[in-house]
Amino acid sequence: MTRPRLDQLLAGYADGDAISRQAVILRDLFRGWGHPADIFADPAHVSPTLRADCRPLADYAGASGDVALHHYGLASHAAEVFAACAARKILAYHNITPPEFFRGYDDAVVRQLADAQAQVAALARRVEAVWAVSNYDAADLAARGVTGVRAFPLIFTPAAMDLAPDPVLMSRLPAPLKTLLSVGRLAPNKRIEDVIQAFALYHYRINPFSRLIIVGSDRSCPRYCTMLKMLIGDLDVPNVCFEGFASPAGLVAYYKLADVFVSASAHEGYGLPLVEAMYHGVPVIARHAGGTSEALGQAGVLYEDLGAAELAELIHRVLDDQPLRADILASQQRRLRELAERPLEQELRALLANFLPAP
Amino acid sequence: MKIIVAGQTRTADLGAAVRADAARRPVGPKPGTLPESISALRLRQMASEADYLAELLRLLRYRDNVDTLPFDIPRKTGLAGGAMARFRAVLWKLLRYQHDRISGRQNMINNLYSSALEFEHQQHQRELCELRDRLARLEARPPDRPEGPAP
Repeated sequence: MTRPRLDQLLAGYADGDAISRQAVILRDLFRGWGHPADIFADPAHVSPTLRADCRPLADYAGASGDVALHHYGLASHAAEVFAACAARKILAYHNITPPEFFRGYDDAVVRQLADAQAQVAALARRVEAVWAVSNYDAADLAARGVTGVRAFPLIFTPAAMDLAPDPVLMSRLPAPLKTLLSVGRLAPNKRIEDVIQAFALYHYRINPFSRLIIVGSDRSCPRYCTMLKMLIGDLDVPNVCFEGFASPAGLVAYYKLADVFVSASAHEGYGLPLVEAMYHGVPVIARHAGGTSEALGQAGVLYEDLGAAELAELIHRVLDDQPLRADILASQQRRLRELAERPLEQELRALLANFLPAP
Repeated sequence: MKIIVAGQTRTADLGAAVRADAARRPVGPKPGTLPESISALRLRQMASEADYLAELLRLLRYRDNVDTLPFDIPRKTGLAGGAMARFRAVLWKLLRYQHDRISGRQNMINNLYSSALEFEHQQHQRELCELRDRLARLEARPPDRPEGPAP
């Protein structure tokens, strides 16, 4: 019996991108089940290092017996190809950042996000199944009138994190400073300015032997990065390191160097870096927004409505109050065990039950 | 304010302590603060890329000179920390003259760059206005010949 193809359609395919990582894990699983499976992406938005690992969107020709899974977070050409194809369709919703965050920074992205918001409900009605990467995202779709959404959280694969840390980075940042870490693309919804303001207060009022390492691509919103750099100048705060995009080994090095992970993101579909930080034994402090509470579960520290000075004090407590730190780290270990016990294949087979022939 | 640690709400104890610590902590000259009217955070409030650029150019004007006078030397505690801080202070005194000459020249270059950007922006705005006026005039002009198929 011929097994149906299980292909995935992406707007872009890039190193370090959570959606791309999810697509690779799913593709490998599908292939492991004996299904032909490929990733199709717009070549204009594929990292040069990954070109051989995916196929151009133009090559996609889903037949009626095939299954097409489209990861949706932005209005794109991939969505058009997906909508037009003959294959049975599944929409995997990865959240749309509200366009207001990008207003003033990038007019084209504001339009793209607004288009995506306008299109997603219509697209969801034309598919056989809709998955969301968190319950928060599922609720977001329900608010847009989409029913029957099933949650399928982002997959965390410890194997990707079990690498030797980049030795160059480890030797470049050896100073014995308390290290605050932020990981994620530099975009306005991440509210990195809040972390910088808190760090400035921590550095000047609490511990001058400290640094803030900000890891993440600055290509998605250059005007936002310009604002951040101007803010650092205004605060006259040293030891803020913009490290840009990190390789997998580089990312491991940053987690090894970190004493605390801080996320002030005001809009997050799930927040995979929070899980990565937990995996490396770094206590996590995150704003309670969007899907962050689903990533953390009953672990780490969540906060709401803290001023910069209060956030600086909270960071200080997590760094220096040993019983509190031990509680947080123990809770994170429990959360990691929960994630490790996730019956991923079973979950996925249940979601795909109507699409695949019985084994 | 709300703080949740390991799934437990800790606003009453940890939150109160954090708030009290923040209020008690002595306020020094750093981190630097600027009036709201020229703060970098104003760039968060722009309605479009054009507004952002205009505001960025305005804000740059307040920042194109580096001031090396308030130069802090961090000091670790203990005898060794004090000695190291004094050593750094002597080094800074020795290097300061040369450093100020270089930073003075750099400031001048920064200033020229700011001016060049402003001139370029003004010129683009002027050209854009002229083009818009011209387009409006062309659109308002009655057609040279009636529309429809040629006889």
